[in-house]
Amino acid sequence: MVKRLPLILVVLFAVCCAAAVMYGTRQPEVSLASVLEIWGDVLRDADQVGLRMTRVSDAEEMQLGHNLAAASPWPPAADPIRQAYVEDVGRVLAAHATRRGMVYEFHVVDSSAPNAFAIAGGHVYITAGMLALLETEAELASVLGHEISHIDLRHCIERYQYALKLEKLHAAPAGQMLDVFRTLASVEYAKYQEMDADAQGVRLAVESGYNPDAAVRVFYRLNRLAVRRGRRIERSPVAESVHVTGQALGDYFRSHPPSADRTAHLTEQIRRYRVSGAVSGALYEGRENYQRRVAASRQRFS
Amino acid sequence: MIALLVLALSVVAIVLLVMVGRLKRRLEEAEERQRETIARVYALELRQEVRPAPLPPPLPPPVIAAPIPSQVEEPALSPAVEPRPVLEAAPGPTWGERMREKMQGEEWEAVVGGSWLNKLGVLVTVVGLALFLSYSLSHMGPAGRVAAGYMLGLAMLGAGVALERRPRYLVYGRGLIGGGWAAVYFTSYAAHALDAARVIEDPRAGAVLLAAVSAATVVHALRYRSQTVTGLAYFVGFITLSITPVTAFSVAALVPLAASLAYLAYRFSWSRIAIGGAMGTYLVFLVNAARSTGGSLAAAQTMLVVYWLVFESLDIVNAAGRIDRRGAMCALSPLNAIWFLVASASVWAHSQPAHMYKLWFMAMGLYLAATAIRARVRPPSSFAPQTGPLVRFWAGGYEGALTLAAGLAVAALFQYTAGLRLSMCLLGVAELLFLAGVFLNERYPRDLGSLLCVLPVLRLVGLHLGDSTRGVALSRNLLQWTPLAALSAAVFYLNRALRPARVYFGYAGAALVALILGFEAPREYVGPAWVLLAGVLFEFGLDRARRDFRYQAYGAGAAGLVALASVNVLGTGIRALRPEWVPQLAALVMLYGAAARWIAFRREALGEGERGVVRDVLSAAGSVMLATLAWNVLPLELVAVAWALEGLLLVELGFALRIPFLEYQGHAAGALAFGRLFVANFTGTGVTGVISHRVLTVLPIIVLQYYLWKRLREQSRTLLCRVYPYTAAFLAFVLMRFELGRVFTVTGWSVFALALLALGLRYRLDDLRWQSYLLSIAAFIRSWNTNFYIPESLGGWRMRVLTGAIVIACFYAGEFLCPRRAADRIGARARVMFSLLATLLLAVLLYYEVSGALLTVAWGLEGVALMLAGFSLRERSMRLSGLTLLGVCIGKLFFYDLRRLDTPHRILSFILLGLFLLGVSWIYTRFRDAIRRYL
Repeated sequence: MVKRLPLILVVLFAVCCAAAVMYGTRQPEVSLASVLEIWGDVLRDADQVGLRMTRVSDAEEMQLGHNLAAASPWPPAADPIRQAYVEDVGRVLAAHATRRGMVYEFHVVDSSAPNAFAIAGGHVYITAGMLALLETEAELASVLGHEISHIDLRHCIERYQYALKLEKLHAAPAGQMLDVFRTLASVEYAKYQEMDADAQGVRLAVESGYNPDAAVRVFYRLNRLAVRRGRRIERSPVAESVHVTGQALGDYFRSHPPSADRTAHLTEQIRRYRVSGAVSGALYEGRENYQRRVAASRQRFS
Repeated sequence: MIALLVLALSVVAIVLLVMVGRLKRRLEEAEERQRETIARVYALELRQEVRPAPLPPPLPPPVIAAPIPSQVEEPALSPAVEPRPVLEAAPGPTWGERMREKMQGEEWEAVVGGSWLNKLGVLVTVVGLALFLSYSLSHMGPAGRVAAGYMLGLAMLGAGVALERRPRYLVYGRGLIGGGWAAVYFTSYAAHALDAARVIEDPRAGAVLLAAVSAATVVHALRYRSQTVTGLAYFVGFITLSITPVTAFSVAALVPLAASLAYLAYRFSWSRIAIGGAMGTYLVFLVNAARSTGGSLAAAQTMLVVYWLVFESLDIVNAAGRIDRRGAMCALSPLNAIWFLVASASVWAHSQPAHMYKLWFMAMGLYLAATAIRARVRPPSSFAPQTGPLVRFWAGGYEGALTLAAGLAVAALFQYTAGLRLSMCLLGVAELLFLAGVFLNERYPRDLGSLLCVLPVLRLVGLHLGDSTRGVALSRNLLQWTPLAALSAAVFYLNRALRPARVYFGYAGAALVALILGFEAPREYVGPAWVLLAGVLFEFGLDRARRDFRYQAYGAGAAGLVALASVNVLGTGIRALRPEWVPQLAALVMLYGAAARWIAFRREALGEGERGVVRDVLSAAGSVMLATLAWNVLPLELVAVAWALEGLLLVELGFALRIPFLEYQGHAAGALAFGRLFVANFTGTGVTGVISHRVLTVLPIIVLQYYLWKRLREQSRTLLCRVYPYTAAFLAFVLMRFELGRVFTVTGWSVFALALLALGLRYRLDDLRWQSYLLSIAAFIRSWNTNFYIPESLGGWRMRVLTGAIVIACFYAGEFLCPRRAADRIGARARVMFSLLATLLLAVLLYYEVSGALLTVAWGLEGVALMLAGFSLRERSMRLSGLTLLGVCIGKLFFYDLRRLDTPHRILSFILLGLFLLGVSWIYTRFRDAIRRYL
């Protein structure tokens, strides 16, 4: 009996843990998400070495951004008042960015799809559809802050670094090819870039005096537009494995994590800010500012 | 009625003649042997007077079939009939040799003209007589015609008798004799049968007259003993009967003709005349049947039966007398059967085609009777022991009649009934044959019955299986063919019991039972049902020492395993979302129970190879079923835990029972559990209280794997015991990644690496030390590439500072934990490795945290701190790290700060670094002697 005691204890421990699972709040999921996430970590760590070695200066990045913006197919919205308003809000946020040498430019795109994106060199784009979805200046600040963060954290320029460096070595095609492979390989960890941009965006918003909870509201609104995924019931362990593999291949190419994940992460970031005392007092919401298209830096409303 | 009377008389006459003939033959043989003996004795006496002569070889004794000891299946000789000596006559000349002998010295023209034309002439003459007698003429009445016919016939007879005495006219005369008897016979027939020549009104008188003429023909033919002459006579007789108007009498007239011919064939062993007579009889009947426009079916069939009896009796008598049956005589019985059946079938086809089965049944009865008679008069014991059934058949044994009876029974059944009833009847016929063979101790009926058993099985498989119609049988709703299959299985097992050597019955029975289970049981219970069947068969086979039952069990078991895999594991053909767990559980219990049973077998009960293979297959199948059941029943998160526990128990069982294959199964289950964690456990977000389900499911498996590592080391499993600590560590590594989040992962890894290092050093476990080295490197890489770029903060502190500090502290702790001297090369450098990792990481952290202007100062401070720590702790690697860092600072000063920094910061950097360098130098100078002792 004494000889078998370790075995009994191990089995008992496992059974107790299993029983604890049964009495908890279960949210099972069968997928290869964990494998993809680990793969993303490995890729990220491996990619950083090359990115550090091929880092470009702010001036080079802005030159590249200028070229990209000039060739962009996105039509600007014919609304100078709205354009000026976005620029005003954006400049306030950009003043708190880490990279001091970067000059930011803001563009309103004539598109009904709710979207916002940034390209290298300090160019931030926001669509008319997104502006229609927002309700307050704080929400606008959270969106613009997120996109500024992508530039500030070098997410945008990393896509071109290999090509720019190899172009200097007269090996531009090799560099472009390398960038393509890198882009494909980095799809999995791109979602972490989004989460980093969320966190940095919250910091920019708070340091600019805006309410960070506005970002959560924006995510809730975007959640309602997202497609829900249901869980399938498979017939056998083999069928389950096949389905999971197929699903994993589909998920791999989704560059944005589901809004629910980002919402949870963002909420946690805001909670940490509140706990640390960095967020205190009344923070500006700016509903009337948004309606009037007047930035808080020019005028604040009660 | 007349026909029957004639038949009876003919049979009696034939029997009497047979008996007389047999006695006469024996007498002749005895006389012949006596003559030979006397001649030899005389010759001996003569030789002995001249010189001593060698003794003649003794006469071979008569061959008597002695009984031979029987085999397993073969019965003892039946004492009912004693074996009789088989006397074989010398082979006669062939037809070709006879022809050459006859034509020797003569031209073919002479032969054609002298012999063939003679016979043709007789034929034409007698046919002309027949036509004359049947043709009504106003100038000659019936009596005149009959008289004319007799006169012609007698004239031909007389002329033939007279001419045959002269050698030149021998052939010519015998031809005339044959034609004369044919003419007389036909005239006797016409005296009653034909209107134009009817002088006898009473059919009985006509029959008696015909019988008398037949008898006279036979008596006269006996005198010549010429098959040709006799054959010609009968041939002409048949022809004349065929061309005359068809009446019942004409048909009946064939009987004495046939009977007398049969007697002669038997008496003189004239096989050709027997065959020819049989053919002529049936042909004439068929011709008459084709020309007649009415007639009773019963009467026609009765005549055919009579014909059949005549020639069949001839064949039986020949067989009883052991008459030489080489050549044409062998074919009499089969030809008689063919002609009889064809003729009967044609009659029935015209009269009652829908009731032809009655004909087949009747014919079956006839041949059954023939079988019994042949078995009596020519028993199997009268043949040599190794004689095959075909040889016995040709020699007049019962095999042919029995086979024909069986075939007729099958044909009758096919016409009489259909569907399942037909199959049942076929099974009954086959089984009756087999049982007859069993009780009579005869192999051939058993073989025949076994062969016929294929028919109902083929019908079952080919026709009935596709029928999904159900009916009520034994108060159950069963498929309609199920009772047939069950009955067939019972019959086959009975046969197997009655004759153990007929193992194929057992296989067939098992296959049928499996078929019933396969179609009657619900789809998910088919596999367990077959496994259960295999168990029952195996136990029976083992108990009775019947190897074929064990093999049946293996077959059923294999089929059961395939069904379990296809339906219960893969879910093929199931309409529900998941397979049911009850059949899975039942299969699991049976498989493991069977495996346990096999493990408990004594070695001598079964061969070691067989025992091992089956045991392993059963246990592996049970393990797969257990894993599937766990997947089916348990929540998604707990499947991995269940599989890991299954693996643990299997490994322990393998150790306890010393069965390596059980261990391998356990390791396989553990590998499945390992993989399953990545699919269902690491990304789940469930929680119980404050503990996530991730921890609650992964941690037990980690513990379990460390336990297995310990046990494998105890069992000296050198290869596998190196795997488990690494898999456990890897699971812990991944668990921290998901449990602590992206930011705090490195801290968890660092602390875990420190713990592994401490345990590895404490208990001298090299695997743990190496894991700590790897984990530390991973923490370093992750810190630099991931944590240092995360913009998150906590309490106003950047996350990279918090996590970096913890990691660096762990590295320094690890440095001081490592012994200064180690036995292995990697261990000897571990201390330096930790020191370098910590120093480098701190430098990088300072690079990201401190602005470019003060970076040189920060690195300088770090270098100084390292130097001081190195001196106080007597750690050379720290001192060297510090010196290296100071050197880097100097380089940075001159190559970067001098050009890039603004003046105030440039000055500050130079001054501070200069002070640091001076301070370090002072220490080296002040404590030179002590340092020398350190170094």
